[in-house]
Amino acid sequence: MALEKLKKIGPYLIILLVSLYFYYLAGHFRFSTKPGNLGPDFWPKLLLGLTMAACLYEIIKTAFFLNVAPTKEAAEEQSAKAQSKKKTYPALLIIGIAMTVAYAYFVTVLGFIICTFFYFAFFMIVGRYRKVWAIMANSVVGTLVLVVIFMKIAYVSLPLGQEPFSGVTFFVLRVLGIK
Amino acid sequence: MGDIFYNLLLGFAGCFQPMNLILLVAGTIIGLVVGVLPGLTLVMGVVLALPFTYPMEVTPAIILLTAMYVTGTYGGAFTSILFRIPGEPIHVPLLWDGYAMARKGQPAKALGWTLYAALFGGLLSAAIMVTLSQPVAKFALTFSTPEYFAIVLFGLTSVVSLGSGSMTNAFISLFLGLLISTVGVDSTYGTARFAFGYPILMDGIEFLTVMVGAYGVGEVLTRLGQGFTTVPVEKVASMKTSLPKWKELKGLKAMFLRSSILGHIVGIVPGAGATIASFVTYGVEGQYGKRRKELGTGIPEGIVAPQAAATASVGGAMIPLLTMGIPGSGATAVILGAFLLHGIQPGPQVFITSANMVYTVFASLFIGIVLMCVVGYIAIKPLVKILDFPEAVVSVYIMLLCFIGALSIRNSISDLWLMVAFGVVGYFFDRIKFPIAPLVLGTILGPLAETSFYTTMISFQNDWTIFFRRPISGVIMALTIVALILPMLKSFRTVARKR
Repeated sequence: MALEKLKKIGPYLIILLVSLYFYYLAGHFRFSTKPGNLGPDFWPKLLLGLTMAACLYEIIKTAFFLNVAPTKEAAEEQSAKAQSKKKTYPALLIIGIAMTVAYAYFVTVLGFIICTFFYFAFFMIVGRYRKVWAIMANSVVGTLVLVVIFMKIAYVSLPLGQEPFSGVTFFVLRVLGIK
Repeated sequence: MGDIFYNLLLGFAGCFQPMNLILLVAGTIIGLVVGVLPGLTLVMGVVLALPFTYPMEVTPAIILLTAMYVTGTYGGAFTSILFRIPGEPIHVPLLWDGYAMARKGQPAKALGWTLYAALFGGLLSAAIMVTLSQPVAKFALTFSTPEYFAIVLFGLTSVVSLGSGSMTNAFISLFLGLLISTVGVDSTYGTARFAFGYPILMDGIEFLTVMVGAYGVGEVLTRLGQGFTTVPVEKVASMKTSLPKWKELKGLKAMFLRSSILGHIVGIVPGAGATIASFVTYGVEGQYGKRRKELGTGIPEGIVAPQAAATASVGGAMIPLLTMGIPGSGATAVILGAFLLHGIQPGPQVFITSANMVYTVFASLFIGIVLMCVVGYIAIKPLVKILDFPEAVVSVYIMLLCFIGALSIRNSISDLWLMVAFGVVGYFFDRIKFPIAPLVLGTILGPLAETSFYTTMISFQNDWTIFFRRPISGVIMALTIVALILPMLKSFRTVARKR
């Protein structure tokens, strides 16, 4: 029961502590204002105070006033919910997040074209899609279509990568007629 | 009034310029596709289209996004009625009567009712929008900073109080959104806040980063965590639309009108949007409709009311956006973003400085609604075929469009990092039942709220009672308090009843 309560309180506690830290930071802003005038710290402090108050309210409510011991009906409802609950794949999620972080890291090194190609392919595989030809086709065509739309038509500046990978980027851009 | 009609005629002429027309058609088709796909919400669709609008002029950009917004309220009707898969939360009420009518062997008729409902609701709402916008804008010209602060506060409070789920969570989400908007050098004093010495943070966090990350990346991560389990689509024999007869329509004319007007009004209220409009009108039919006892058994009233209201809410939501720069829904928040990206601040002035653009957007809404119904009528089969696309493939495209969206905001990798971070935040928000809409709206409206608050305080010698003493801001503040108290009372009553 205590664990159940702790699970509920957890997110509020984290937000409360982070807000407390930011409140401390807001107290150390450097500024000069006329005496009696509100400084630039007032607005963030007000918001942080309200956030902390809301978190405290939830924590106190859950810790002292919420009865987590399930009634018979609630227990039945919960077991029905658990049965109908979708299966979750935490490993896929972790790999997905790691891949996304890796994309943000490698896109400056490998360049948009190479990085996007690999992201396309790996993401579909991680997403449990297994048609090899479709994965290859989507990765190649998808990357090229995005490059043409954003670099040739929309003039968005996308990362070219570092040597030697930038050589590949320039080659593809030349083939696509992008200067 | 003559002015309005003249400007609207010019707007129609503007819509038929090749670029505008192409984007209008494209927006209509993409909006329908977005509505059909269960993994892609209307707001997410509009968010993903945003990077494509960077190189465009402001008018075609807004036409594209508005067309997507309005048609997104209709696309999901097909899948709700035929397969019991609501493409959008808006279409959940259609499961009750729309799907029931389809099960009775009349799927084509059910689709016909939604077509008429979307057409009538959309056109009526667009007409009201055109008629009301200019007077509202003129009225808004008299506003000063206390009124602006009061309006923003009302908008933000409504988002919180009208949302489903925990109000405390919605408030925390809102406060965090407002806090994100304080990062960087503040505009009143020039003080660096929460920047930690990083140049990119000195410039502030772009709300687009938050929006694209939390909505787009967060949603894809959530679905990846569920293993991309696409619901299998059953085969339906009849996949066409059969239009109801004039006699049948005549019998429901009052209901068409009632639902459309109600949908429009709900759309005007900041934070309410199409989903609430569709549920509220269905509820009204359930309480006051002539055939309320038959609701849920597959009667036209249960189809027309939510669909007409959902499409009508679009015209309603555009009024506060264009006349005061206050977005009434997630999708209008993105459209506001598109305006700002093109250097235009929506508000009363826009009717004077960019009247041509405003009326072209208005006209595009009329054409878009008709086009939406024509495309929906003709192309239902290929549209529904989209459901066969594997979710992993659709999702990777969404992710990459999000990445490009972040990269193109300021041409900075730091924005990509921030977006990924907000994507993870969006995922966890979804897990712990914190709504994302208040976070995003807080980020967007935060600077306006803060600036108008500080300016008022400086102008009125820190007298906070000014917000209550001025007539217009006083009324709006009173409405804000009501918007706050009503849901609280409701929740207390529910708790008391349970005990």
